[in-house]
Parts: sequence; C-alpha cells; structure tokens
Amino acid sequence: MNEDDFRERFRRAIGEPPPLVAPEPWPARDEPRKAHTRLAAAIAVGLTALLVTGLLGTRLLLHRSGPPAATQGASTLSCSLPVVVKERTRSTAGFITIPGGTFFADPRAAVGDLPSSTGVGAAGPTFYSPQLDRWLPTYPIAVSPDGRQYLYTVLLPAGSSYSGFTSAELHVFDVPHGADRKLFSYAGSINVVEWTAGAIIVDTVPPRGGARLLWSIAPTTGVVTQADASVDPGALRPSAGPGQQSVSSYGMIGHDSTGAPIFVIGGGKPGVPVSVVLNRSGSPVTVYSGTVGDATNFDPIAGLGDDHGVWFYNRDATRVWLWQPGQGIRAFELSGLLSTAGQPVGALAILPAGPCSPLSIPRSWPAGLPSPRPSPSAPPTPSAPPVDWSALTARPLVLPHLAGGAPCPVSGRLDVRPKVQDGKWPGYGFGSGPAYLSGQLSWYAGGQAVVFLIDPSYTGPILVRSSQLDGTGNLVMTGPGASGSTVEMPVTASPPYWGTWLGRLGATAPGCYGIQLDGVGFTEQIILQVLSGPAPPG
Amino acid sequence: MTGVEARAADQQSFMEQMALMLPLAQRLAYGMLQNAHECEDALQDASFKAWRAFPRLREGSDVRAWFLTIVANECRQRRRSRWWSTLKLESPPAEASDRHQQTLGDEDAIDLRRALNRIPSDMKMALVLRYYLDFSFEDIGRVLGVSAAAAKSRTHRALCRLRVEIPEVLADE
Repeated sequence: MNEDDFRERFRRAIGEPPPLVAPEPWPARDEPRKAHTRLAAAIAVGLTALLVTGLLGTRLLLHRSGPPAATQGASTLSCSLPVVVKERTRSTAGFITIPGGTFFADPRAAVGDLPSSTGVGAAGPTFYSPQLDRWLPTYPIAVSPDGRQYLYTVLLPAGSSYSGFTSAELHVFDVPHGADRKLFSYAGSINVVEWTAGAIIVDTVPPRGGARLLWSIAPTTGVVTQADASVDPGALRPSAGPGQQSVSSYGMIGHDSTGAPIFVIGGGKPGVPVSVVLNRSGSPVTVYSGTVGDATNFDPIAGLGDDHGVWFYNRDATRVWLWQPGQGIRAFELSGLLSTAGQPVGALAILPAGPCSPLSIPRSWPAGLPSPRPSPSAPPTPSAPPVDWSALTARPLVLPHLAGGAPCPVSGRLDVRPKVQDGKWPGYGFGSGPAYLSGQLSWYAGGQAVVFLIDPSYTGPILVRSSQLDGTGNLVMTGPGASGSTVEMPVTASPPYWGTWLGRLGATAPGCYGIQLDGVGFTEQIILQVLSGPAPPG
Repeated sequence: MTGVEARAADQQSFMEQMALMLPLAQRLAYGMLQNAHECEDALQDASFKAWRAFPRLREGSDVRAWFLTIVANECRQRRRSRWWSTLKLESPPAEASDRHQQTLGDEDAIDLRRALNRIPSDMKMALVLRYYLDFSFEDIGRVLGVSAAAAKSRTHRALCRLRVEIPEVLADE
C-alpha cells in the first residue's frame, strides 16, 4: 500500500480541526484584554489545584459515600474554612463551617479589581485573606506571611500564553495600598515556590524546557540570589519511616504552617499501601498510614496547615480532615455541596483556600442568604419551588388553524449548542426559543423519543400544550410532568447549563400540529408535521 | 519527560508541557470525533481528568503518552454515548452541521469518513494515530497500552477492515 497516498486521502477525509481559541471569560481591567484559551483555563485551574488553591464552582448536590471515617469528637474548635469547590467547568469560593461541615458560597468572592497571573486562563478567587477579609486571585504559597501582599507573574510579550511567551516578570501587589512592584524578570517561566518570613523562593524554566533554577528574593529589598535545591521543599524526598514501604512513588500535596511539605507516598489503586508524611527536616512525621479504599477513607488531594494543625481535603469531596500533632486525624463530613444526580465520584474537588478563621458576618452580607453558622438542625436542602400553573394554563391557546389543503408551516430548524452537565444532546432544535423541540428530524404518529432544549437564559417553568392545526387529533406526550398532550416543566435551565426534557411524542393521527410553550414572560409556538405510522427503524 | 521530572519541575512546567501537547491532543480528538464542539469538550474533560490523575502519575511515566491516552479514552467514551444508541435520535449530516469541516467534499473522502465511523473505536484510533498524527508504531503502542508489534498489527487489521467497508475506494491501496 502506498502509505503516503493513503495518508493524504485520510487527512483529506477528516479535514483540519479549528484553531484552539476561546473568548476570555473575565472582564478586563485597565490593562489590555489578554487572550486565554478555555483549555488553558482548565489546565491553569488544575495547576492551581495542585498548588493547593483553585477557582470556585457553582451549586452542587452532595452525595455522601461511605461510612463516617472517624469520630467527630466534641471540640471547642469553631471557625470557617475557606475553600474552592471545583466542578468540571465551574468553581465556587466559599467557606466550610467547622465543626458543622456546611458549605456556603461567598457572594463577595470577587477579585476582578486585582492583578493576577497571566497566561494561565481566567483568574478567580483562590485564597481568602483573613487579614484583609477578602479573596485574592492567588494561591497560599504566593501570599505574604502577613496576608496583605501576594505574588503574581506576567508573561511577555503581553497577551502571551505558555505556548508562545518568551519571558516573564514576577510582581508583588500590596492590597491595602494598591501598590504594584516588579520584583524579578527572567527569560523563561517563573513559578513561586514559597514565601516565608525570610525570603521568596521561585523557580525558573526556559520557555521550551530546560534546566530548572531556584532563586531567593528578599521581600523588602528585592535582592535576588540564585539558590540551590536545598531550599525547595518539593525536591526533598520524603522520608519513609520505620516499617513503611520504600519511597518509590510520591507526590507533594501541600505544606503545614511552617512551610514543611506534605507528601503522599504510594497509593493510586485500591488496596495499595499509602502514607501521608509531613516532612519536617530531620524528623518526618507520619500523619496517616493505611491502604487506599480502607474503612478510614483518608484519601487527600491537598493539605494546608494553619494554627489549628493541617487541614486535608478528601479526593471524593465528602469530608475534610484536621490533623493535629499527638491527636491524629479528625473528619468533618461535608454538606451544602450540590452536584447533579449521577455525577461520578471525583467530578468534584474541594481545595484549600486559606487558614480556618473566625468569620463574622460581613456588614454587606446580602439579605436572605443563610448565615455562615446555621443551626445544626436546619441544613440547607435545595428543592424546586412550587409552581402556580394556573397563571400559565389561563393563557389561551393561540395556535393557527389551517384551511383544508394548506401546507403545514413547519418551524425552521436552528443549530444550537446545548451545554449540559451530562450526556450527549442534539445540536439542533425547532422553534424560536428559549425552548426548542429536538430529537428528531421527522415525526411519526407511532411515537418517538423527543427532547426539549431550554436556553440557559430562561430558568422558570414551562407549560407545553398542543393541538392539531388541520384536524382534531392530539399529540401524546409521555415523560416527566406529562399528561396527555400537556407537559408541565417546573424547573428548566440552570445557567450556564441548558435545561433538557426527555420523553416520547406520538400523535392520535397524522397531520400538522402546533405546540405552544408558555413561560414567565413568553409564549412560543412550534409547528411540526407528523407523518403516519411508526418511525422507520435505525 | 518522566512523571518524576514533571513533579520536580513544579506544576507550572507541567502546565507548559500540557500546553505544548494540546495541539497534538486536539488533532487526536478531532480525528476521532470529527466534530469541533465534541472535540473541544473532549479536550476539556481530558484536561480535567489529567489534572485529577496527575498526583498518581508514576515515576518513569511518559507524560505525553499518558495524556494522549486520557484523550483517547475520552473520545472512545463519546463515541459509545448511550444517548444516541438507546434513543435513536436523528442527527443532521455531519458535513452540514460541522462548520469547521474542511474536507474537499469529494465522494471518496465522504465514503472514507463514513467508513471510519463504522469501524471499531480501537481500529479507528490506530489509524488516526498513524495517518493523521504520524505516530510511529512505538508511540502508537504507548498511547494504546500495547507493544509496538501489537500496534502495527492493529493498524494493519484496521486497514483490512476499511477495505471491507469501502472496497471501491481502497481498491488501489
């Protein structure tokens, strides 16, 4: 076979993918808008998650799994733990009450007025500074010990991403004074390793890869000196204690309040031994030793220390843990996190965003929002509000009547791109919106699957009714909220996701039919032709 | 770059590697799915899964092969979507709905494309890696998790299957 010829035909058959571009999702500041890719944003979020912060997500539904791993003993501990809850495409900043374990999104978690690292996608609230009582677009290791300044990097030339930059700058921003200062420049990437009382440690890598160098920067004078690997906590191999397996596979998941790194050693698959070690130089401390999937279910993806101890965040997003020297680990079961039903384990991630702090209700806390310290007997439970259908059913059906022999004015087909959390949905719909009839290109009286797609711009209830325009037949709908030819959809879209309704549509007779959809503030008609008999196979 | 080197070079370097691999990953996803929207979604899902799985990446791992494997698995799952197979919803022709399709539209190309969509995912994957991404059999094997010899064998079987599907198009191959 002529491989080159076949390769050419193969490529011609598939074509070329479109360029990897996407609009910037965050509003621009005074600086010129910078182009980011959605994928770069996803990767950047992943990066910051690995660095023990992330962007925050949207509402979620908690599915608790497994028995409580440890006794939540009586404690005088009471604080609010800032976290970032990350879904697949969204993140939410908020607080977890300790010891209650309830999550509350923080509506004040806005950082659009602050500079942030470029080339890593959209910046969001990833660290809560109790000293400033506000969120910052950075991660814990890049915040000054007093919580009032933070570091961020700028890729050059302006607007560059990590696939096209040539150099970078490290900046420090003083939040209370609004003062920005450039600390360091390098012909490559700059990454913050840590900010201690004595020095800022960063590493650099050339744009196309190469030697990683470490640098120490004096925070006040800005004097930069090259440092050796001994200052890098992540490069220190964890020490396996007596009786532990040799350190052949490990990863750093965070650090305690002194900057000592925390490592997970082993693990990865159920039944495999795993240890979590706090690598204080000269005296490693074993936080936990067990096997993946054991009854304790201590499976952290991140750890961050504060004055209370070290907080760990479980991979399955069901709990956070507090480790205190001499007291072991203590679990706090989580609630208030929402996920759509069927969301697989691991689709949510809870990431640390600062120390657990006393949190008083802000003066500007929006009215109607629950207090961060709710009563233990009233955990928030989301549910669809009851709908008064009488207002919608009172609207008359205004579908046209067709004279004998007149052609059926079938609604035009539009290309739509429904963004849905689960499943694969059609990319087309009939109607003018916000609701679209979809699922089939031809309709048969014998019945077929039918889909309604609802644009995320509309979240209210929809009443669906229908009638035959050229006869006395009826459409027959089956599915959630369906009764005869009527469908009541109490809950539709959940922005930014489209609403979906899945059921079955048939008819008592072939002909031209009209579907009227009534919602709050709109009435829409969709016309379709129903053919006789069952749908053809395939 | 091995998994340990990626960790030692910090997450920023990992993101750099990811950013460099994205164009290749996009071609893989597009070659498998042939739909710009699905390709973009698959890449974003794969990136998220790669981030989640990165802490478990073993020392000595080939990061590129590892990430492309995640992308490949994401594409396989989308091809096997239960929605389409159980509900039999109609879809407009791909040539009409995919605005980024840049094929010449000739009949042979259309037939070849349709035949690719009929053969098993693993076979199509081998062909995409070989003839769309120009991978060696060794690299194909790393992504598919098989030996180079097995990758070569799978590619050959995929070509034979294509000849069965469209003998008139591949008669001279």
